Amino acid sequence: MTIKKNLIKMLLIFWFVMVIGSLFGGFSLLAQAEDQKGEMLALSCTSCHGTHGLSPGAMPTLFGKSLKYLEQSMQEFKYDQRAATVMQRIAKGYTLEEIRLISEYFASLYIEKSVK
Amino acid sequence: MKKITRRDFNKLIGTFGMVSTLKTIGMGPTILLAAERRVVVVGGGFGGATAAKYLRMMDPNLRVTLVEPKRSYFTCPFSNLMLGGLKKMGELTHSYEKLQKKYGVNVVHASATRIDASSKNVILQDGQNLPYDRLIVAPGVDMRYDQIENYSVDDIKDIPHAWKGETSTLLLLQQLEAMSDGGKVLICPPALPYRCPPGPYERASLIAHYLKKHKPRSKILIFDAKEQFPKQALFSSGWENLYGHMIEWFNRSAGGLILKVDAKGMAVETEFGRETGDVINLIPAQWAGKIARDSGLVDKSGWCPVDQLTFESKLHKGIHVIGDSAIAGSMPKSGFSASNQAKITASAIIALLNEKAPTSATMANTCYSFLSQDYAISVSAIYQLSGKEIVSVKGSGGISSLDADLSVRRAEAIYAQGWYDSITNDMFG
Repeated sequence: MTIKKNLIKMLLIFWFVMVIGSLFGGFSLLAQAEDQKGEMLALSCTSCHGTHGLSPGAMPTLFGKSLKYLEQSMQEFKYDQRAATVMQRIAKGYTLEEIRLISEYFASLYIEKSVK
Repeated sequence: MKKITRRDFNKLIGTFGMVSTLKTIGMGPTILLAAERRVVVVGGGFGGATAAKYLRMMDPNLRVTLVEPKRSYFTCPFSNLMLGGLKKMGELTHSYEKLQKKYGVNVVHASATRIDASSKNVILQDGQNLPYDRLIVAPGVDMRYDQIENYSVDDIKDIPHAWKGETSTLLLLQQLEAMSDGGKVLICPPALPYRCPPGPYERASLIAHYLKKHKPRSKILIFDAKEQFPKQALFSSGWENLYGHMIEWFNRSAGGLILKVDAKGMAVETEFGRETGDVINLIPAQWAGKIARDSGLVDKSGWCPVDQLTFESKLHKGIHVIGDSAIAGSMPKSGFSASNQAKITASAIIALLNEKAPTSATMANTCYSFLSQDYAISVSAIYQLSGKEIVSVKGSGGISSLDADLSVRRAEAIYAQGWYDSITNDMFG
Protein backbone atom coordinates (compact mmCIF):
# COMPACT_ATOMS: atom_id res chain seq x y z
CA MET A 1 0.00 0.00 0.00
CA THR A 2 2.81 2.37 0.93
CA ILE A 3 4.38 1.86 -2.49
CA LYS A 4 1.07 2.60 -4.15
CA LYS A 5 0.60 5.73 -2.05
CA ASN A 6 4.10 6.90 -2.88
CA LEU A 7 3.47 6.27 -6.53
CA ILE A 8 0.29 8.30 -6.44
CA LYS A 9 2.11 11.06 -4.59
CA MET A 10 4.90 11.06 -7.16
CA LEU A 11 2.46 11.12 -10.03
CA LEU A 12 0.65 14.04 -8.39
CA ILE A 13 3.91 15.96 -7.98
CA PHE A 14 4.87 15.19 -11.58
CA TRP A 15 1.44 16.30 -12.77
CA PHE A 16 1.72 19.49 -10.75
CA VAL A 17 5.17 20.24 -12.15
CA MET A 18 3.86 19.74 -15.68
CA VAL A 19 0.80 21.92 -15.07
CA ILE A 20 2.82 24.76 -13.58
CA GLY A 21 5.34 24.37 -16.37
CA SER A 22 2.66 24.62 -19.02
CA LEU A 23 0.97 27.58 -17.30
CA PHE A 24 4.11 29.66 -17.18
CA GLY A 25 5.72 28.38 -20.34
CA GLY A 26 8.78 27.21 -18.49
CA PHE A 27 10.93 28.36 -15.66
CA SER A 28 13.23 31.30 -15.74
CA LEU A 29 16.43 30.51 -17.54
CA LEU A 30 19.68 32.41 -17.27
CA ALA A 31 18.23 34.29 -14.32
CA GLN A 32 21.43 35.11 -12.51
CA ALA A 33 24.88 35.65 -13.90
CA GLU A 34 26.60 33.31 -11.43
CA ASP A 35 24.29 30.46 -12.45
CA GLN A 36 25.01 30.90 -16.10
CA LYS A 37 27.86 28.48 -16.54
CA GLY A 38 25.94 25.53 -15.13
CA GLU A 39 22.85 26.49 -17.11
CA MET A 40 24.83 26.87 -20.31
CA LEU A 41 26.41 23.44 -19.83
CA ALA A 42 23.00 21.96 -19.01
CA LEU A 43 21.62 23.08 -22.39
CA SER A 44 23.31 20.04 -23.97
CA CYS A 45 21.79 17.64 -21.43
CA THR A 46 18.24 18.74 -22.13
CA SER A 47 18.26 17.55 -25.76
CA CYS A 48 18.02 14.01 -24.32
CA HIS A 49 16.72 14.59 -20.80
CA GLY A 50 13.99 17.09 -21.72
CA THR A 51 13.49 20.83 -21.26
CA HIS A 52 14.72 21.74 -17.74
CA GLY A 53 15.68 18.07 -17.36
CA LEU A 54 12.02 17.03 -17.25
CA SER A 55 11.87 13.93 -19.38
CA PRO A 56 8.57 12.97 -21.01
CA GLY A 57 9.72 9.43 -21.82
CA ALA A 58 12.34 6.79 -21.07
CA MET A 59 15.25 9.15 -20.33
CA PRO A 60 15.83 9.77 -16.63
CA THR A 61 14.55 13.12 -15.32
CA LEU A 62 17.30 15.38 -13.93
CA PHE A 63 15.06 18.23 -12.73
CA GLY A 64 15.32 18.69 -8.98
CA LYS A 65 17.39 15.57 -8.29
CA SER A 66 19.79 15.93 -5.38
CA LEU A 67 23.21 17.43 -5.97
CA LYS A 68 24.85 14.39 -4.42
CA TYR A 69 22.99 11.93 -6.64
CA LEU A 70 23.66 13.86 -9.84
CA GLU A 71 27.31 14.55 -9.14
CA GLN A 72 28.08 11.04 -7.94
CA SER A 73 26.31 9.46 -10.94
CA MET A 74 28.29 11.55 -13.40
CA GLN A 75 31.56 10.80 -11.61
CA GLU A 76 30.80 7.08 -11.63
CA PHE A 77 30.04 7.20 -15.36
CA LYS A 78 33.22 9.17 -15.98
CA TYR A 79 35.42 6.65 -14.18
CA ASP A 80 33.64 3.52 -15.48
CA GLN A 81 32.36 2.61 -12.04
CA ARG A 82 28.77 2.32 -13.19
CA ALA A 83 27.41 0.45 -16.20
CA ALA A 84 25.67 2.57 -18.83
CA THR A 85 24.80 2.55 -22.52
CA VAL A 86 25.97 6.04 -23.49
CA MET A 87 26.59 8.07 -20.32
CA GLN A 88 30.08 6.66 -19.73
CA ARG A 89 31.09 8.05 -23.14
CA ILE A 90 29.45 11.42 -22.48
CA ALA A 91 30.66 11.93 -18.88
CA LYS A 92 34.30 11.61 -19.99
CA GLY A 93 33.89 14.84 -21.95
CA TYR A 94 33.31 16.90 -18.79
CA THR A 95 35.73 18.01 -16.06
CA LEU A 96 34.87 17.43 -12.40
CA GLU A 97 34.16 21.15 -12.06
CA GLU A 98 31.77 21.10 -15.03
CA ILE A 99 30.04 18.05 -13.55
CA ARG A 100 29.59 19.95 -10.30
CA LEU A 101 28.14 23.01 -12.08
CA ILE A 102 25.70 20.92 -14.12
CA SER A 103 24.64 18.99 -11.02
CA GLU A 104 24.16 22.19 -9.01
CA TYR A 105 22.00 23.61 -11.77
CA PHE A 106 19.60 20.66 -12.04
CA ALA A 107 19.55 20.23 -8.24
CA SER A 108 18.57 23.89 -7.86
CA LEU A 109 15.39 23.56 -9.90
CA TYR A 110 12.19 23.14 -7.96
CA ILE A 111 8.69 24.45 -7.73
CA GLU A 112 8.05 26.72 -4.76
CA LYS A 113 4.68 25.27 -3.81
CA SER A 114 4.27 21.53 -3.83
CA VAL A 115 1.44 19.13 -3.21
CA LYS A 116 1.01 18.39 0.48
CA MET B 1 18.10 27.06 -4.56
CA LYS B 2 16.25 28.37 -7.54
CA LYS B 3 12.59 29.03 -7.13
CA ILE B 4 10.04 31.09 -8.91
CA THR B 5 10.77 34.49 -7.36
CA ARG B 6 8.86 37.74 -7.62
CA ARG B 7 11.34 38.89 -10.26
CA ASP B 8 10.79 35.78 -12.32
CA PHE B 9 7.09 36.10 -11.77
CA ASN B 10 7.14 39.59 -13.25
CA LYS B 11 9.01 38.15 -16.21
CA LEU B 12 6.36 35.48 -16.60
CA ILE B 13 3.61 38.09 -16.42
CA GLY B 14 5.62 39.80 -19.13
CA THR B 15 5.26 36.65 -21.18
CA PHE B 16 1.51 36.84 -20.99
CA GLY B 17 1.64 40.51 -21.90
CA MET B 18 3.70 39.57 -24.92
CA VAL B 19 1.24 36.95 -26.03
CA SER B 20 -1.56 39.47 -26.28
CA THR B 21 0.69 42.01 -28.01
CA LEU B 22 1.72 39.43 -30.56
CA LYS B 23 -1.85 38.86 -31.62
CA THR B 24 -1.91 42.32 -33.14
CA ILE B 25 1.17 41.78 -35.27
CA GLY B 26 0.49 41.59 -38.95
CA MET B 27 -2.65 43.70 -38.63
CA GLY B 28 -0.94 46.82 -39.87
CA PRO B 29 2.09 48.94 -39.08
CA THR B 30 2.97 48.98 -35.41
CA ILE B 31 4.93 51.71 -33.69
CA LEU B 32 7.69 49.84 -31.95
CA LEU B 33 9.03 50.74 -28.55
CA ALA B 34 12.76 51.34 -28.59
CA ALA B 35 13.30 48.60 -26.03
CA GLU B 36 11.42 45.96 -28.02
CA ARG B 37 13.96 43.66 -29.59
CA ARG B 38 12.98 41.55 -32.57
CA VAL B 39 14.49 38.22 -33.52
CA VAL B 40 13.28 36.46 -36.64
CA VAL B 41 13.91 32.75 -37.13
CA VAL B 42 13.64 31.32 -40.65
CA GLY B 43 12.96 27.57 -40.68
CA GLY B 44 11.03 25.53 -38.10
CA GLY B 45 13.06 22.33 -37.78
CA PHE B 46 15.31 21.02 -35.00
CA GLY B 47 17.39 24.21 -35.10
CA GLY B 48 14.77 26.87 -35.78
CA ALA B 49 11.93 25.62 -33.57
CA THR B 50 14.28 25.05 -30.63
CA ALA B 51 15.87 28.49 -31.09
CA ALA B 52 12.47 30.23 -31.14
CA LYS B 53 11.32 28.50 -27.95
CA TYR B 54 14.55 29.05 -26.05
CA LEU B 55 14.81 32.71 -27.06
CA ARG B 56 11.39 33.27 -25.50
CA MET B 57 12.21 31.22 -22.41
CA MET B 58 15.51 33.01 -21.87
CA ASP B 59 14.10 36.48 -22.45
CA PRO B 60 10.31 36.85 -22.38
CA ASN B 61 10.65 40.48 -23.50
CA LEU B 62 11.98 39.48 -26.90
CA ARG B 63 9.67 39.52 -29.87
CA VAL B 64 10.33 36.28 -31.70
CA THR B 65 8.87 35.45 -35.11
CA LEU B 66 9.27 32.00 -36.61
CA VAL B 67 8.82 31.77 -40.37
CA GLU B 68 7.93 28.28 -41.59
CA PRO B 69 5.73 27.46 -44.60
CA LYS B 70 4.54 24.09 -43.29
CA ARG B 71 1.70 23.80 -40.78
CA SER B 72 3.27 20.80 -39.09
CA TYR B 73 6.74 19.31 -38.95
CA PHE B 74 7.65 15.78 -40.06
CA THR B 75 10.92 14.65 -38.46
CA CYS B 76 13.68 13.06 -40.51
CA PRO B 77 14.88 11.26 -37.36
CA PHE B 78 12.78 8.11 -36.94
CA SER B 79 11.47 8.26 -40.52
CA ASN B 80 13.46 5.06 -41.22
CA LEU B 81 11.25 3.36 -38.62
CA MET B 82 8.30 4.31 -40.81
CA LEU B 83 9.99 2.60 -43.78
CA GLY B 84 10.47 -0.46 -41.58
CA GLY B 85 6.75 -0.52 -40.80
CA LEU B 86 7.41 0.37 -37.15
CA LYS B 87 6.01 3.92 -37.01
CA LYS B 88 3.08 5.71 -38.56
CA MET B 89 3.45 9.12 -40.17
CA GLY B 90 1.31 10.77 -37.49
CA GLU B 91 3.75 9.70 -34.78
CA LEU B 92 6.50 11.68 -36.50
CA THR B 93 4.45 14.82 -37.19
CA HIS B 94 4.46 17.73 -34.75
CA SER B 95 2.40 20.90 -34.39
CA TYR B 96 3.67 24.47 -33.98
CA GLU B 97 0.67 25.37 -31.84
CA LYS B 98 2.42 25.34 -28.45
CA LEU B 99 5.26 27.52 -29.70
CA GLN B 100 2.63 30.14 -30.41
CA LYS B 101 0.23 29.62 -27.51
CA LYS B 102 2.49 28.54 -24.67
CA TYR B 103 5.73 30.35 -25.53
CA GLY B 104 4.42 33.42 -27.33
CA VAL B 105 6.39 32.82 -30.51
CA ASN B 106 4.76 34.57 -33.46
CA VAL B 107 4.56 31.66 -35.91
CA VAL B 108 4.11 32.84 -39.49
CA HIS B 109 3.29 30.09 -41.99
CA ALA B 110 4.83 31.58 -45.10
CA SER B 111 7.90 31.22 -47.27
CA ALA B 112 10.78 33.61 -46.77
CA THR B 113 12.04 34.50 -50.24
CA ARG B 114 14.79 36.99 -49.52
CA ILE B 115 16.89 38.52 -46.78
CA ASP B 116 17.90 42.15 -46.97
CA ALA B 117 20.92 42.18 -44.69
CA SER B 118 21.58 45.91 -45.06
CA SER B 119 18.10 47.03 -43.98
CA LYS B 120 17.70 43.98 -41.70
CA ASN B 121 14.50 42.65 -43.20
CA VAL B 122 13.19 39.23 -44.14
CA ILE B 123 10.94 39.44 -47.19
CA LEU B 124 8.09 36.94 -47.38
CA GLN B 125 6.51 35.48 -50.50
CA ASP B 126 3.49 37.81 -50.23
CA GLY B 127 5.80 40.82 -50.10
CA GLN B 128 5.47 41.37 -46.36
CA ASN B 129 8.61 42.60 -44.59
CA LEU B 130 9.73 41.27 -41.23
CA PRO B 131 12.26 43.63 -39.64
CA TYR B 132 14.78 42.12 -37.23
CA ASP B 133 17.54 43.11 -34.84
CA ARG B 134 19.03 39.62 -35.11
CA LEU B 135 18.13 36.87 -37.57
CA ILE B 136 18.53 33.11 -37.29
CA VAL B 137 18.59 31.17 -40.55
CA ALA B 138 17.92 27.44 -40.14
CA PRO B 139 16.74 26.12 -43.52
CA GLY B 140 18.24 22.61 -43.32
CA VAL B 141 19.53 21.03 -46.49
CA ASP B 142 18.51 21.06 -50.13
CA MET B 143 19.29 18.18 -52.49
CA ARG B 144 21.80 18.76 -55.27
CA TYR B 145 20.72 17.49 -58.66
CA ASP B 146 23.82 18.74 -60.45
CA GLN B 147 26.36 16.18 -59.25
CA ILE B 148 25.27 13.05 -61.14
CA GLU B 149 24.85 12.81 -64.89
CA ASN B 150 21.30 12.64 -66.23
CA TYR B 151 19.81 13.17 -62.76
CA SER B 152 17.21 15.88 -62.13
CA VAL B 153 14.54 16.93 -59.66
CA ASP B 154 11.90 15.24 -61.86
CA ASP B 155 13.49 11.86 -61.16
CA ILE B 156 12.45 11.88 -57.50
CA LYS B 157 8.96 10.84 -58.61
CA ASP B 158 10.48 7.49 -59.63
CA ILE B 159 13.55 7.28 -57.38
CA PRO B 160 12.73 9.18 -54.18
CA HIS B 161 15.51 10.43 -51.90
CA ALA B 162 13.26 10.19 -48.83
CA TRP B 163 15.80 12.41 -47.08
CA LYS B 164 13.58 15.38 -46.39
CA GLY B 165 9.85 15.81 -45.94
CA GLU B 166 7.00 13.35 -45.71
CA THR B 167 6.05 13.19 -49.41
CA SER B 168 9.27 11.60 -50.55
CA THR B 169 9.41 9.23 -47.54
CA LEU B 170 5.81 8.11 -48.16
CA LEU B 171 6.61 7.41 -51.82
CA LEU B 172 9.54 5.19 -50.88
CA LEU B 173 7.35 3.37 -48.35
CA GLN B 174 4.68 2.74 -51.00
CA GLN B 175 7.28 1.45 -53.44
CA LEU B 176 8.65 -0.98 -50.86
CA GLU B 177 5.14 -2.19 -50.08
CA ALA B 178 4.37 -2.66 -53.78
CA MET B 179 7.58 -4.56 -54.50
CA SER B 180 7.26 -8.31 -54.94
CA ASP B 181 9.19 -10.89 -52.95
CA GLY B 182 12.63 -11.45 -54.45
CA GLY B 183 12.94 -7.80 -55.47
CA LYS B 184 16.11 -5.75 -55.37
CA VAL B 185 16.39 -2.49 -53.41
CA LEU B 186 19.26 -0.12 -54.21
CA ILE B 187 20.34 2.45 -51.62
CA CYS B 188 22.88 5.02 -52.85
CA PRO B 189 24.35 7.27 -50.11
CA PRO B 190 26.44 10.36 -50.96
CA ALA B 191 29.89 11.44 -49.80
CA LEU B 192 30.20 13.50 -46.60
CA PRO B 193 29.10 16.07 -45.55
CA TYR B 194 25.36 15.35 -45.63
CA ARG B 195 22.44 15.31 -43.21
CA CYS B 196 22.46 12.37 -40.75
CA PRO B 197 25.67 10.46 -41.62
CA PRO B 198 24.54 7.04 -40.20
CA GLY B 199 21.02 7.44 -41.67
CA PRO B 200 21.45 5.42 -44.90
CA TYR B 201 22.69 2.39 -42.93
CA GLU B 202 19.87 2.58 -40.41
CA ARG B 203 17.59 2.75 -43.42
CA ALA B 204 19.11 -0.37 -44.96
CA SER B 205 18.63 -2.15 -41.60
CA LEU B 206 15.00 -1.22 -41.18
CA ILE B 207 14.08 -1.93 -44.79
CA ALA B 208 15.69 -5.35 -44.20
CA HIS B 209 13.56 -5.69 -41.07
CA TYR B 210 10.45 -5.16 -43.22
CA LEU B 211 11.61 -7.40 -46.07
CA LYS B 212 12.66 -10.26 -43.79
CA LYS B 213 9.15 -10.35 -42.41
CA HIS B 214 7.17 -9.86 -45.63
CA LYS B 215 9.47 -10.50 -48.63
CA PRO B 216 12.34 -12.64 -47.35
CA ARG B 217 13.83 -13.51 -50.77
CA SER B 218 14.58 -9.83 -51.49
CA LYS B 219 18.01 -8.15 -51.47
CA ILE B 220 19.35 -4.73 -50.50
CA LEU B 221 22.41 -3.43 -52.31
CA ILE B 222 24.16 -0.30 -51.01
CA PHE B 223 26.22 1.62 -53.56
CA ASP B 224 28.22 4.07 -51.48
CA ALA B 225 30.18 7.16 -52.58
CA LYS B 226 32.30 6.65 -49.44
CA GLU B 227 35.05 4.18 -48.60
CA GLN B 228 33.78 3.72 -45.02
CA PHE B 229 30.67 4.72 -43.12
CA PRO B 230 29.80 5.68 -39.52
CA LYS B 231 29.40 2.89 -36.93
CA GLN B 232 30.41 0.49 -39.72
CA ALA B 233 31.64 -2.39 -37.52
CA LEU B 234 28.45 -2.24 -35.43
CA PHE B 235 26.20 -2.18 -38.49
CA SER B 236 28.09 -4.97 -40.24
CA SER B 237 27.95 -7.38 -37.32
CA GLY B 238 24.32 -6.47 -36.62
CA TRP B 239 23.35 -7.05 -40.26
CA GLU B 240 24.97 -10.46 -40.23
CA ASN B 241 23.23 -11.48 -37.02
CA LEU B 242 19.82 -10.09 -37.87
CA TYR B 243 19.55 -10.40 -41.64
CA GLY B 244 22.16 -12.91 -42.82
CA HIS B 245 23.25 -11.86 -46.31
CA MET B 246 20.25 -9.74 -47.21
CA ILE B 247 22.31 -6.50 -47.19
CA GLU B 248 25.36 -6.10 -49.41
CA TRP B 249 27.54 -2.99 -49.31
CA PHE B 250 29.85 -1.73 -52.05
CA ASN B 251 32.24 1.07 -51.20
CA ARG B 252 33.58 3.64 -53.63
CA SER B 253 36.53 1.51 -54.74
CA ALA B 254 34.24 -1.46 -55.24
CA GLY B 255 32.09 0.43 -57.73
CA GLY B 256 29.90 2.24 -55.18
CA LEU B 257 30.05 5.68 -56.80
CA ILE B 258 26.99 6.53 -58.89
CA LEU B 259 27.99 8.18 -62.18
CA LYS B 260 24.72 8.33 -64.05
CA VAL B 261 21.00 7.83 -63.44
CA ASP B 262 18.34 6.30 -65.67
CA ALA B 263 15.18 6.84 -63.67
CA LYS B 264 12.77 5.64 -66.37
CA GLY B 265 14.80 2.46 -66.81
CA MET B 266 15.05 2.10 -62.99
CA ALA B 267 18.82 1.85 -63.18
CA VAL B 268 22.01 3.55 -62.06
CA GLU B 269 25.44 3.42 -63.61
CA THR B 270 28.55 2.86 -61.53
CA GLU B 271 32.19 2.54 -62.57
CA PHE B 272 31.57 -1.20 -62.76
CA GLY B 273 28.48 -1.03 -64.97
CA ARG B 274 24.72 -0.73 -64.97
CA GLU B 275 22.66 -1.81 -61.94
CA THR B 276 18.90 -2.13 -62.05
CA GLY B 277 16.65 -2.04 -59.00
CA ASP B 278 12.97 -2.68 -58.28
CA VAL B 279 13.20 0.18 -55.80
CA ILE B 280 15.97 2.77 -55.96
CA ASN B 281 16.67 5.15 -53.10
CA LEU B 282 19.28 7.59 -54.36
CA ILE B 283 20.31 9.97 -51.58
CA PRO B 284 21.99 12.82 -53.46
CA ALA B 285 24.70 15.22 -52.31
CA GLN B 286 23.34 18.20 -50.41
CA TRP B 287 23.99 21.86 -49.69
CA ALA B 288 22.57 24.64 -47.54
CA GLY B 289 18.86 25.47 -47.94
CA LYS B 290 17.84 27.84 -50.74
CA ILE B 291 17.30 30.97 -48.65
CA ALA B 292 20.89 30.69 -47.35
CA ARG B 293 22.25 30.26 -50.87
CA ASP B 294 20.12 33.10 -52.27
CA SER B 295 21.15 35.45 -49.46
CA GLY B 296 24.91 35.20 -49.88
CA LEU B 297 25.40 33.15 -46.73
CA VAL B 298 27.25 30.21 -48.36
CA ASP B 299 30.86 29.89 -49.46
CA LYS B 300 32.03 27.86 -52.45
CA SER B 301 31.44 24.60 -50.55
CA GLY B 302 27.70 25.31 -50.61
CA TRP B 303 27.56 25.54 -46.79
CA CYS B 304 27.54 28.55 -44.45
CA PRO B 305 30.72 29.66 -42.70
CA VAL B 306 29.98 30.96 -39.20
CA ASP B 307 31.77 32.17 -36.10
CA GLN B 308 31.66 28.91 -34.17
CA LEU B 309 31.09 30.64 -30.81
CA THR B 310 27.95 32.59 -31.76
CA PHE B 311 27.00 30.99 -35.10
CA GLU B 312 26.94 34.48 -36.60
CA SER B 313 27.60 34.36 -40.33
CA LYS B 314 31.11 35.27 -41.42
CA LEU B 315 29.57 36.80 -44.54
CA HIS B 316 26.72 38.91 -43.11
CA LYS B 317 26.62 40.59 -39.69
CA GLY B 318 23.50 40.15 -37.59
CA ILE B 319 22.55 36.84 -39.25
CA HIS B 320 23.16 33.55 -37.44
CA VAL B 321 23.10 30.24 -39.29
CA ILE B 322 22.46 27.05 -37.33
CA GLY B 323 21.82 23.37 -38.02
CA ASP B 324 22.57 21.44 -41.19
CA SER B 325 23.35 24.57 -43.26
CA ALA B 326 26.14 25.75 -40.96
CA ILE B 327 29.79 24.73 -41.04
CA ALA B 328 30.16 23.79 -37.36
CA GLY B 329 33.63 22.28 -37.03
CA SER B 330 33.51 18.61 -36.11
CA MET B 331 29.78 18.56 -35.31
CA PRO B 332 27.80 16.31 -37.66
CA LYS B 333 24.67 17.49 -39.47
CA SER B 334 22.12 16.01 -37.08
CA GLY B 335 18.93 17.03 -35.30
CA PHE B 336 20.76 16.87 -31.98
CA SER B 337 23.55 19.17 -33.22
CA ALA B 338 20.97 21.64 -34.55
CA SER B 339 19.07 21.60 -31.25
CA ASN B 340 22.22 22.22 -29.22
CA GLN B 341 23.45 24.95 -31.58
CA ALA B 342 20.02 26.60 -31.34
CA LYS B 343 20.26 26.96 -27.56
CA ILE B 344 23.84 28.23 -27.64
CA THR B 345 22.91 30.70 -30.37
CA ALA B 346 19.81 31.88 -28.47
CA SER B 347 21.97 32.67 -25.46
CA ALA B 348 24.62 34.35 -27.63
CA ILE B 349 21.98 36.53 -29.31
CA ILE B 350 20.59 37.64 -25.95
CA ALA B 351 24.10 38.50 -24.77
CA LEU B 352 24.82 40.44 -27.99
CA LEU B 353 21.52 42.34 -27.83
CA ASN B 354 22.47 43.38 -24.30
CA GLU B 355 25.98 44.30 -25.37
CA LYS B 356 27.55 41.55 -23.31
CA ALA B 357 30.21 39.08 -24.39
CA PRO B 358 28.78 35.69 -25.43
CA THR B 359 30.22 32.80 -23.43
CA SER B 360 31.32 29.54 -24.95
CA ALA B 361 29.79 26.28 -23.80
CA THR B 362 30.42 22.61 -24.22
CA MET B 363 28.09 21.02 -26.76
CA ALA B 364 27.12 17.43 -27.40
CA ASN B 365 25.71 15.08 -29.99
CA THR B 366 24.28 11.59 -29.75
CA CYS B 367 22.95 9.77 -32.81
CA TYR B 368 21.00 6.57 -32.28
CA SER B 369 20.46 4.12 -35.12
CA PHE B 370 17.99 1.25 -35.09
CA LEU B 371 18.97 -2.06 -36.68
CA SER B 372 15.61 -3.59 -35.80
CA GLN B 373 12.71 -2.88 -33.48
CA ASP B 374 14.61 -3.67 -30.29
CA TYR B 375 18.19 -3.39 -31.45
CA ALA B 376 19.85 0.05 -31.52
CA ILE B 377 23.38 1.46 -31.45
CA SER B 378 24.72 4.95 -30.86
CA VAL B 379 27.58 7.32 -31.50
CA SER B 380 28.24 10.18 -29.15
CA ALA B 381 30.63 13.11 -28.83
CA ILE B 382 31.24 16.14 -26.65
CA TYR B 383 32.39 19.34 -28.35
CA GLN B 384 34.33 22.39 -27.27
CA LEU B 385 35.66 25.45 -28.97
CA SER B 386 39.40 25.19 -29.52
CA GLY B 387 40.56 28.52 -30.86
CA LYS B 388 37.95 29.27 -33.49
CA GLU B 389 37.02 25.69 -34.30
CA ILE B 390 34.54 23.29 -32.66
CA VAL B 391 36.41 20.06 -31.93
CA SER B 392 35.48 16.92 -30.02
CA VAL B 393 36.87 16.54 -26.52
CA LYS B 394 39.69 13.98 -26.50
CA GLY B 395 39.03 10.77 -24.60
CA SER B 396 35.26 11.17 -24.68
CA GLY B 397 32.47 9.97 -26.93
CA GLY B 398 32.64 7.08 -29.36
CA ILE B 399 30.37 4.27 -30.45
CA SER B 400 28.44 1.55 -28.58
CA SER B 401 30.59 -1.34 -27.42
CA LEU B 402 31.16 -3.89 -30.20
CA ASP B 403 30.87 -6.90 -27.91
CA ALA B 404 27.82 -5.76 -25.93
CA ASP B 405 25.08 -8.35 -25.62
CA LEU B 406 21.50 -8.06 -26.85
CA SER B 407 20.25 -6.56 -23.57
CA VAL B 408 22.43 -3.50 -24.22
CA ARG B 409 21.12 -3.19 -27.79
CA ARG B 410 17.58 -3.45 -26.42
CA ALA B 411 18.31 -0.79 -23.78
CA GLU B 412 19.65 1.52 -26.49
CA ALA B 413 16.45 1.01 -28.50
CA ILE B 414 14.45 2.11 -25.45
CA TYR B 415 16.70 5.15 -24.91
CA ALA B 416 16.54 6.00 -28.61
CA GLN B 417 12.77 6.33 -28.26
CA GLY B 418 13.36 8.30 -25.05
CA TRP B 419 15.66 10.64 -26.95
CA TYR B 420 13.02 11.18 -29.64
CA ASP B 421 10.33 11.92 -27.06
CA SER B 422 12.58 14.36 -25.21
CA ILE B 423 14.01 16.26 -28.16
CA THR B 424 10.69 16.71 -29.97
CA ASN B 425 9.15 17.85 -26.68
CA ASP B 426 12.10 20.23 -26.24
CA MET B 427 11.25 21.70 -29.67
CA PHE B 428 7.48 21.74 -29.71
CA GLY B 429 6.15 20.85 -26.23
